[in-house]
Amino acid sequence: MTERILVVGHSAITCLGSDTDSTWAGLLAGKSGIRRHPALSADRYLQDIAGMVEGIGPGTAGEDPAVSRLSARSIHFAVASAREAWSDAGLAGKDFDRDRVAVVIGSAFGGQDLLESEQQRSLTRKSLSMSPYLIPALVINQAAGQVAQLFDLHGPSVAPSNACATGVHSIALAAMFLRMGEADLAIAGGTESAFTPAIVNGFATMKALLGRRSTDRSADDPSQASRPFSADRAGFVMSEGAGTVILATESAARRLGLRVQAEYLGHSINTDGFHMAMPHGATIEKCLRQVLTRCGLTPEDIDYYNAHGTSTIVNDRVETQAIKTIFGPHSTRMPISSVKGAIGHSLGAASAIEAVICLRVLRDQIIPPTINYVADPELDLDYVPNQARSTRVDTVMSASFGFGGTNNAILMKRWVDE
Amino acid sequence: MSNSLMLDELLRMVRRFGRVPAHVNLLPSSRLVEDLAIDSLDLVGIIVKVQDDYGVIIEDDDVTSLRSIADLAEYVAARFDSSAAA
Repeated sequence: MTERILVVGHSAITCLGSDTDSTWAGLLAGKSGIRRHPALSADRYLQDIAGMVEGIGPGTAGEDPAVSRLSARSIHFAVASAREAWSDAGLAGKDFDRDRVAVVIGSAFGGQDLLESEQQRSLTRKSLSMSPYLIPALVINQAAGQVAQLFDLHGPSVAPSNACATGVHSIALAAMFLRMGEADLAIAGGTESAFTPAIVNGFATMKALLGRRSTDRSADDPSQASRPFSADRAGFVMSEGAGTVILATESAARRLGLRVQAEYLGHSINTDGFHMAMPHGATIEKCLRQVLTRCGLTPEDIDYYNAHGTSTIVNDRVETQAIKTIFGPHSTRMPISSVKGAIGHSLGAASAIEAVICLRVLRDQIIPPTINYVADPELDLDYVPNQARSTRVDTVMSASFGFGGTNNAILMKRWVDE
Repeated sequence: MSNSLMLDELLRMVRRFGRVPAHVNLLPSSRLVEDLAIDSLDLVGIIVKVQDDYGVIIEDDDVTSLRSIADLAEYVAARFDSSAAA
């Protein structure tokens, strides 16, 4: 029998806080990390309401010297998150085979911020030279490469790029390395910082991003911009951040005496093959059903569904319908929430951050709310509106869906020491 | 800009962008590769930074002859465009 995969460390860096504890405390308090940012000026950006990480990254007081030459914020977030997760797992000083540690850290857009600043700089440059660090920082696998370098790890490293599903695709791929016997431990997650005019305005022009509107409730209060499952939801709000988990085979966790945080039960990844950007309900339903089947669970076994819940009109409708189809009568009893109301949509990092939030749900037995919620008669499930809820949670499902028609769902279970 | 001021700036730039440890004494005669062990990527980083800050173009063919900080200062001083200075 294949041995169990366990979660032994985690970290989330979000616009609510530069570490997991502050993010978690903010989520439970119903706070929002979304605000107006003068850096997203009206002459260059179609939206200035966003969720940005403070205190980490190139040029900040907290700049990490280990990656100071690689001025892509996504790399700095990945390294900061990996440091926190590594410390959380208590791996420093442990004796393990460094050739058998996988690093799987993905991103949707990688170092686009650095590309933008270098292109701007080149407009005033007499020569055609570019920073010699541009290319190393632009390759999406550099975040994984830097984390491997930092901790002296030499197992497989890969960088999935699957739009808004990247983070959990990475975690699932890491679990596969463990299940295939190619690694004993894995650092996995997603990272993102893509605030460039091309990307912000690209999403805004598609009408996927909430636009600047004087009549929107975000005009007076930017913290209300992201409102998943709400009647007046009008698009997602872009944010940035990183999420990381550390997985271990059960034998490695026991041999190293690691503190087990949850059991990683399994995943499902599938593809719509339908449209470049629109979600496809039927394939999403298959994805949710498949993860239950693979893990030998029934809908009633799921105590909390952590939603993709982007706050776009289409996603929240399609996801709600998929939940109803797969969970049947249990769909009205099962708490569902989207943390994107509080921390926006950090694209390739989002689902990894949400996996981390699920670990906290399992640990603390409390579900973070969907904030800014105003009921939509069409969407009639229990979205844990506006207030955190203490309840028994043994098993969680988290799902995410990305442009390109890529979907995932994972299941994790509360760990009780045996 | 006086040559000594430029030299001071270049010394600071080389220390920062060449990641020269604080305990290493930097002199105008310090050779970038042989004495300071600056790696090839950081060396290019210094060249690009000098080009940006002083509005000069440093030809690839000339880079190999710029062995010390003094060589770099002399090269830049001969081509410095004050209108491009920060």
